[in-house]
Amino acid sequence: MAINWTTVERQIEQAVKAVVGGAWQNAAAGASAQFAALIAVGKQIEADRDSMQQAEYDSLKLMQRRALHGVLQTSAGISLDIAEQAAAAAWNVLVTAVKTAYPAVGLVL
Amino acid sequence: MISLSAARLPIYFSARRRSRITISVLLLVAACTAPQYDDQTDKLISQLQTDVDTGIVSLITLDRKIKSLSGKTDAASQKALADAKIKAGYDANTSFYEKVDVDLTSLQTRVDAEPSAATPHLDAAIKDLRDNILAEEGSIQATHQKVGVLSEAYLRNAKTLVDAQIGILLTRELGLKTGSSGASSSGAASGAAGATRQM
Repeated sequence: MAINWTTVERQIEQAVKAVVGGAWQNAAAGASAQFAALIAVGKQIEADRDSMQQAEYDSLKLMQRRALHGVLQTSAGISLDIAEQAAAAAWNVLVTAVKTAYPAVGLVL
Repeated sequence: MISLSAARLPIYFSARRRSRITISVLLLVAACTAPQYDDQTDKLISQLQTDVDTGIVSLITLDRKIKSLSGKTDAASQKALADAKIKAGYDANTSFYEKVDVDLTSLQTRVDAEPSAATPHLDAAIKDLRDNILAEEGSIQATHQKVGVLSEAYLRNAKTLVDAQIGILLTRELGLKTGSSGASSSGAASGAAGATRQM
């Protein structure tokens, strides 16, 4: 079952909005760019889920979290804690989408 | 316009105290200054993107070569495969990470040389970028060291994430140049969708 990435992107935005609350307005522009990058990563993971090593996957997970919480902190002055929660929420949406579509995926997501 | 000359501060302050007050006020003014477009910063960001992308694309090419040669049994292919693996390995690519380190340091120095209200945000954005590329746990460099040869799938994803981060810096600087909204004082992270390039 292919993943509907348009839906996933919308869910990611909703998940992040739910965490950052009113600060979303200031974060929207920068965060949207990172969401687009996150969706691109999700598509690659979907396509190449069997050709990445666990260490590579773990690296991408950390990299996207740093990138997104960096944007949230710098563009909207969101605290580190909240920004990290938002970044984790975004990643969880992506992981849920991949796990649901490919339950037998070899990586520890 | 307010004059900040130390000599004009009330006489009951000592010379040293007056100097300190002047320096503090100047730093405060710098911190409140609206960020200005800086051609050198623009060039340094572009140089960083070029160096990062060149390094990653080179590693992608090598991984493709490794894949295409794997399974071939003739002596020439075996030798080419061994060479490609060495070239794709971490030890053969330390100069790439050193170059990116220099790029990031130059950019950081330039940004800090002309402090403005945006400087703390830019510093944070550059640190996040550094953490994702160099040394830190989960960075491209640390992962390269760990796995030896990075896969094309990983490299494409890493490039997407890093390009988006660099794109945010670039979009902000170009926003300052054109006077668009991306140039707000706190806008170290304005829209970068257009700057995120896919291979």
